[in-house]
Amino acid sequence: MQTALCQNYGDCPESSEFFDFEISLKPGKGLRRFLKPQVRFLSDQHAPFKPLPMSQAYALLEWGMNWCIATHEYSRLIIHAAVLVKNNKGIIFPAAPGSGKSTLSGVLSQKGWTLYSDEMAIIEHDSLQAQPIYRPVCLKNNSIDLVQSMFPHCEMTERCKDTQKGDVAHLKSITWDVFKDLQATPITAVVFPKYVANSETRIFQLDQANAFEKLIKQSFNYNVLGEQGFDTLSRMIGNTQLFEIEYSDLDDVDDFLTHDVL
Amino acid sequence: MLNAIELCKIVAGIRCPSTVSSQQWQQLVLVLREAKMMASLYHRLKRNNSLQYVPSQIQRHLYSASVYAERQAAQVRYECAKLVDLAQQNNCHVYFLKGASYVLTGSFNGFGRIFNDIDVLVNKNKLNILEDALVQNGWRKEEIDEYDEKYYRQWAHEIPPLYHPYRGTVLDIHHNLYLPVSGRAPQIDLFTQGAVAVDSGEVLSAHGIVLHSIIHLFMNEDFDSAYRDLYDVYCLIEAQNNSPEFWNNLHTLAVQSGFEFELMCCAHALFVYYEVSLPTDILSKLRATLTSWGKRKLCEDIFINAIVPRHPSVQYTKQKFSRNIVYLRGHYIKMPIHILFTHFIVKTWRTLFSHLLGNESAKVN
Repeated sequence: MQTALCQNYGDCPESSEFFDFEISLKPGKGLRRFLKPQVRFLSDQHAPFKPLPMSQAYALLEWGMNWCIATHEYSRLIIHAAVLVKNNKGIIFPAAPGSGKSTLSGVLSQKGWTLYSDEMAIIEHDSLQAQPIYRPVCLKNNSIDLVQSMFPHCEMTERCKDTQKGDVAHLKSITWDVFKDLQATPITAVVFPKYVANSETRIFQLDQANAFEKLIKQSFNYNVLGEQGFDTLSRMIGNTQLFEIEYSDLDDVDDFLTHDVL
Repeated sequence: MLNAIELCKIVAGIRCPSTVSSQQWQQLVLVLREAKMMASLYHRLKRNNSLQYVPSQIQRHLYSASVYAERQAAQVRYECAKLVDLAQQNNCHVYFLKGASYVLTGSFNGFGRIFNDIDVLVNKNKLNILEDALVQNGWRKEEIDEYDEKYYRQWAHEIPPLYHPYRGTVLDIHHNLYLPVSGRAPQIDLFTQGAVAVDSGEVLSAHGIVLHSIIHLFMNEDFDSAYRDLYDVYCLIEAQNNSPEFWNNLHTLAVQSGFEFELMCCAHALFVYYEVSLPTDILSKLRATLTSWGKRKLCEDIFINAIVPRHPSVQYTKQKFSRNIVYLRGHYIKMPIHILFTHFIVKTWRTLFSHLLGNESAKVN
């Protein structure tokens, strides 16, 4: 747990002027402190989730941090999506289950793309630009082996086994040194990924209404933002290319994104 | 670090935010997040044109909280309108209480308020009709066991909560302002007779709303919302501009309904936390309710400490101890001792069992 923390955040500066959330991991209550030990995640005195087995402590911490942002951030539009940036242009990959978004993020982040976020696209209302966030990529099950075999020198935490998402590990995709100089970036495209084993790469252009509907479904806070959320999303869609891709070959995807989209 | 009282002065606009240090802003965010008052602070600072003094990272949190609160307020307005329609179809008056009434009257504390549920008061003999009508219109009863069902129907001043499965709203329907089994439930006409019509339905009179807030705060065994509830009372009183008529009406209603002691406790808390002073003639009459050491201790000490929010930067042993006393007192006044005894055994057993299994605690009445 400590190793994982050090790997992913050890290079951050000790403190800044303010912190946003006060979080902690505590042992399970009552008998569950000792018997099949549990761990609890707390944000500001409250535990939003049920406890998990102690072995999943680090994964719980990462999910907890996602929760903090998703349930408190209403000054910007937040979409459940990865954001990858190259040549100062950002692409958002909204994350339906089974889309392979995290594998895509993990691999592309090791191949010259800058990962602004694996989990949430944070979009400013005024500028429609995406903000970076300093978090690792959460890889699951086979992706862990895939990324490790493609990039043997990558920094990956140990697996947390038997979580509700299966095996989970976290990949450090950027250093603090690089991160601290990142700026908010305009979004060039929204690409809905869909991993289909052994498939050829197929690219579909989406119409705005279709993309709008799919994006609302993947948004964390659209339902709270109301009119402002609608306004931001419609301006964003009006200014970006909209695609859906079915793929199994990540190199192909990299190629398409780099040469055709950017 | 500031104490809970000093933090109140910032929220109430009594202390200028230009004097607040970075460390204190950090503390404010954490404590007010716990107390569900971040959006309230946002609206106060906005009204006083003081947002410029707030560091941008802190402002973002306050603003985010205000967006969430506004969304809730919109939902409350919608739900109240729908409920009134349904009530009218069934020939039923509805009086909105607490948060819903603040939003419907446009009172300042309604801005930035966070809601758990919508509270409404109806005539006891219309209760079942309204409940049935709601269930027929998609509302569902929360699943509770036989014991809790009996608690509500036989002893309490409200029925078990109803919730809407699609919209997520929870509705608390009351027929009185305090448990009848306690012997202190007021004659409800005293409150409803001065009711005021609003866009949707009705609310109590200005002094009725204030006294109900005071009853809800000081008769409760659970002080988790007390910090915010006291701010509600402060804002409601602030809006009355020290009108002698308002104070007299409030005092009269307190005397008639039997809540003079609670009004005294609130007066003292408002003085300590918000520098509010009641008219001297009314205050001296209220002081006469402090007839025992116990009552004086409760008023001057226990309640003042128990109101402090549950955050480690402000709540210490003394405040936690006071919360426990308030918890005991709250239960003690709720029901006759022989009923309370059995109720306590049942609830304690359930809570212990639940803790032993490492489950997060369920709601305890």
